[in-house]
Amino acid sequence: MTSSADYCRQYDPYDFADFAQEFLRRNPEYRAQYSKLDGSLHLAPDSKACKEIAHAWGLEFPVPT
Amino acid sequence: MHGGWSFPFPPELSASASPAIWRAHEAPSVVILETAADPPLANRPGSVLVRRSILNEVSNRNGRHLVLSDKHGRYRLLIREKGSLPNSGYLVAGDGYLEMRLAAIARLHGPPRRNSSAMDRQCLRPSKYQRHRLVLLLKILDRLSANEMRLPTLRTIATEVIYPQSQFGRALEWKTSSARRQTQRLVSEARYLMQAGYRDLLKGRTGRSKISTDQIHSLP
Repeated sequence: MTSSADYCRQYDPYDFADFAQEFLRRNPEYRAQYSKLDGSLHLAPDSKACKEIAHAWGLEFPVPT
Repeated sequence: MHGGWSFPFPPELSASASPAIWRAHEAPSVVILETAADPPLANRPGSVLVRRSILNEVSNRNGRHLVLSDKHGRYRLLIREKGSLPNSGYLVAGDGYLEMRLAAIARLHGPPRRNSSAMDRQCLRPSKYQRHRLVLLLKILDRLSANEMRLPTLRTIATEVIYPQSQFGRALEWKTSSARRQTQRLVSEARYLMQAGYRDLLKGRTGRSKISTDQIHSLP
């Protein structure tokens, strides 16, 4: 169990970009797309579909290493 | 994970555990550094990478994207190799976020200055009040998404998250209270930030909700 003070303290070092990520990761649509991609082994990371998904959220997508 | 790549960031991990790589044009805090090829940037004296740890890194056709960290905080950097350039330099987009971009470059490039924390606060980091409000909005979203059969009521959110020490009396008193209206506004704002407003946050804006009231009224 996290206390309220601990909950707040974890955000002390956050900048605007970190807060933006915290809001986005709570987005059900983003979470659904993540689950879908996570289970889709055939989807190439440098494919147009993957890049479009990442860019639609304002994110960069890595190429396979 | 799929052999060396993953979705931009896994939603189960916090920003502190797995910082996202934002697109430079979306996030003015991302510094764009164009380098004049050899020698490798990391080996140059005075490099922005020296004495900073790399928290996250991805490469793609746009360049090398990094989230760096030191005792002063985080830095977001996009390195583009431009062999044709005689010298390395920062690229500053001529958009409406010049102040934020310049603050990010000054913070990354130079030694910490006496007034750097004030500049950070203004452009790159939320104020104490903004931080308090953003944390409250995150708490509201967490309460809304708690694994329950039914969505919590506005009154539940008010008593558990926003006004934990308060009693609101009978139903009629609650329905006509300013606390109820404020709870509606905060729920609306939290949902807006989750759905689209996070892009405003990237630009240092913490404006009010733009979500229609229909969405608030979905709460009992």
